[in-house]
Amino acid sequence: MNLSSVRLRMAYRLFLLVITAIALFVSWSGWRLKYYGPLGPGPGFFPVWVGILLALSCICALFSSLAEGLDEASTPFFEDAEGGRSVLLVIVALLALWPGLKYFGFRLTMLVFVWVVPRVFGARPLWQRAATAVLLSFGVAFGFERGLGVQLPEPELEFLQALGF
Amino acid sequence: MDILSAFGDGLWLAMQPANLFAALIGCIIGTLIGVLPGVGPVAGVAILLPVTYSMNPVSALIMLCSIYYGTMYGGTITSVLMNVPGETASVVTCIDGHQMARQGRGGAALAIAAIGSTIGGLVATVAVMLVAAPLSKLSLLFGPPEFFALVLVSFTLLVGLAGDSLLKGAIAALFGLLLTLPGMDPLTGVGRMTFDSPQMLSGLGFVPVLMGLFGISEILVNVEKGQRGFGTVPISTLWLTREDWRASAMPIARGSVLGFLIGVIPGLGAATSSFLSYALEKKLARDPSRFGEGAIEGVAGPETANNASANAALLPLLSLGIPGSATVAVIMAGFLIHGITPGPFLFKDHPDIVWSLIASMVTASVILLILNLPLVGLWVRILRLPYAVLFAIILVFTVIGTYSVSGSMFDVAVMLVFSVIGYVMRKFGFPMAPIALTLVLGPQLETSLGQSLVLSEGSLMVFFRSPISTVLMLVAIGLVLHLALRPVTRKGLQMLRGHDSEV
Repeated sequence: MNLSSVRLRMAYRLFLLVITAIALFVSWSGWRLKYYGPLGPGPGFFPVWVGILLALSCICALFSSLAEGLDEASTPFFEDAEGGRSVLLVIVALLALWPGLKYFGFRLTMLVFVWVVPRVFGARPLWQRAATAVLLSFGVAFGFERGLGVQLPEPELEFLQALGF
Repeated sequence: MDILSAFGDGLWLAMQPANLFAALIGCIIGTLIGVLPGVGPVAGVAILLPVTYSMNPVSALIMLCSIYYGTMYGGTITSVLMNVPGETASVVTCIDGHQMARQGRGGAALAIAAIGSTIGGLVATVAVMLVAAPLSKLSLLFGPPEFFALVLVSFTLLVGLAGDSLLKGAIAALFGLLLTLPGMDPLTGVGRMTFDSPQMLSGLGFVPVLMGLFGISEILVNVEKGQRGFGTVPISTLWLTREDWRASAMPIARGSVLGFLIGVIPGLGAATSSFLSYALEKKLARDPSRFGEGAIEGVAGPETANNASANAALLPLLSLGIPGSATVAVIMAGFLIHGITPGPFLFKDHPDIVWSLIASMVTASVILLILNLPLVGLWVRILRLPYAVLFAIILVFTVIGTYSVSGSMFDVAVMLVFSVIGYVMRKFGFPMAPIALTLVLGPQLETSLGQSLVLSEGSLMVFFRSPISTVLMLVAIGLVLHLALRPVTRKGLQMLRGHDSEV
C-alpha cells in the first residue's frame, strides 16, 4: 500500500464515523438496560445521554470536516513514508506483544521485542542491541521479581515454564 | 496558628527519611522525564504510577507530586540547551533561553530558571497552605447537586480551553466519559456493557487506559517523526551577574503571583501561565525588542510562573477533589489507588497526608534547586542515550506497570489498544487533557447526577435550589453559551474547525 495515499482528512472522517457508531451502540445498549425506575436513574440513564451527546458531537465534526472541501487537498496521514512505515511496524509489534507475553512470558517476549524494535530507529551496534535486550528482559525481570517482589507475566506454554522462563 | 501547626506537623512528616527519599527519587525521575523530549508530565506520571503501589500512601503521593514538579524543571534544560521543549510549559523558554545559550549564557539561563522555579514553587505553596483548608471547609457544604455543578464547570472550562477546536475538546471529554461506562453502574451496582466478560465487570482500569493514551501514544508520535537522538549547546558558567539579578527580580515576583492565580483555575495549566508571563514581561519591558534575542526576563518570568502554576494546580484537587489539569488527574488516580478520595473530607480524614503533601512542595522545591544546578551536565549526558534505548526502557516499564496493577493480561491488552487509539487521536489533533479528566471524574459525575435526581425525584431544578449550585450552574451555562456563540464571529468559526489542523 502506498502510505502517502492515505489522507489525514479521509482518515479523520472514518474515525468520526467509527466513534459515532460506537456512541450510538452505547446509547442503544443503555436504552435496553433500565433507563429510569421508581428510585431514580437506572444503569442505562447515563450511557444513553453520553452516547447521544458523543454521536451528535461527532456528526457536527463530520459536517464541519466535509465543509472543508475535497479530500485531495488534505495532507497525507503520515508526514513521510519512512515515518509511516516505522510507526506501523511499532504498532504491529505492540499488538503482537500481548499474545507474546501471554504464551511466551515476559522474558522471552521482551528479549525479542527490545532486540527487533529499536532497529526502526536506525542501525545500532550489535553489542548495544544485545546488551539492551538482555538487560531489559532478563535483567529487569530479575530485579522486579527478586528485588521488588513484583510478579511478571509467565508463559502459558508448559515447556517454557519448565525451562524457567 | 492552626494552619501553621498543621503545616509544621506536615513538614516534620515530609522530612522523615523515607518521605525525603521519595521526594528525592521523584525529583530525579521527574527531571529525567522532563528532559526527554516527547515524554510529557502526564505520560511520565502515568508510566510511574505503578512504581508507587507498594509504598505507603504518604511516600507514594509525595513521590508522584515530586515527579510532577521535576518534569516542570526538566523541560527547561532541553528548551535552553537544545531549543526542544521537554513539555509544553517550557515552549516559551526556548525563545530567549536558547538564544542565551547560543550567546554562551546557557548556564545563566538555567540558573535563573532553577531559582525562579524554586521561588515560584515556594510562593504558591504558601498560598495553597493559606487557602486550601478554608476552601475545603466551604466545600463541606457541597452535596451531590453542588458537586455535579462544580464538575460541570471544570469540564466546560477544560473543553473550552483545551486546544483550538471546541468540537474536538467536547468529543475528547465525552470519549473519556464513554470509557467509564463499562463495568458496574455506580448507583445500582448492575453490570453494563461487560460483553459477558468477567474482566469487564470492574470496567476499563484507568491506569492501563491512561498509560496507553498518554504514555505509549506519545512515543508513537516520536517514532513517526523519526526521533533518533539530540544535539545540545555546551553549558557556560552558572553564575549570575548583578545585572541578571536586577533584571530578573520583578519578573520572578510577577511570575509567582500570576502562576498561582492561573494554576488554581481548572483547565488553564502551566503552559498558559508561562505564555501569559512572557507576554506580560514583554509588555512591561523598557525595551521589548530584546525579547527573542536572549532577554533573561523572558526566562525568569515564565519559568517561575509555570512552577507556581504546577503547585497551585493541586489546590482544587486537595480542597474540592477536582483535578485542574491532566497531570493532576493522573495524580488523583494515584490518590484513588491508595484508597484516598481527594476533596472536602481530605483535611478532616487524612490531615497527615494532605499537610505532608503540601510540605513536600517545599522540600521538593529545595531538592530541585540543589539537585539540578550541579547536575545539569548529567542530564545533558543522558540525552546522548540513543532514543531507541529510551523507547525500549519506557515500553518495558509501561508493560510492567500495567501488569502489576492486578496481574491481568487483560489490562496489558487494554493498554496496547489504547496506545494505538491515543496515537490516532493525537494525529487528528484531539486534546488529550479532557479525556484524562473525564476518565478519572466520570464515575463521580455519574454518581452525583444520579443522587441529585433521586433526591429531587427526577426534577432538574435540584441544581438551582442552593445558592452554590445555582451560581455554579449559571457559570457552566454561561460558559457553554459563550463557547457556543463564539463561532458566530469569523475567528470563532476558525476555532470550531480547528485552524491549526487540517482535519
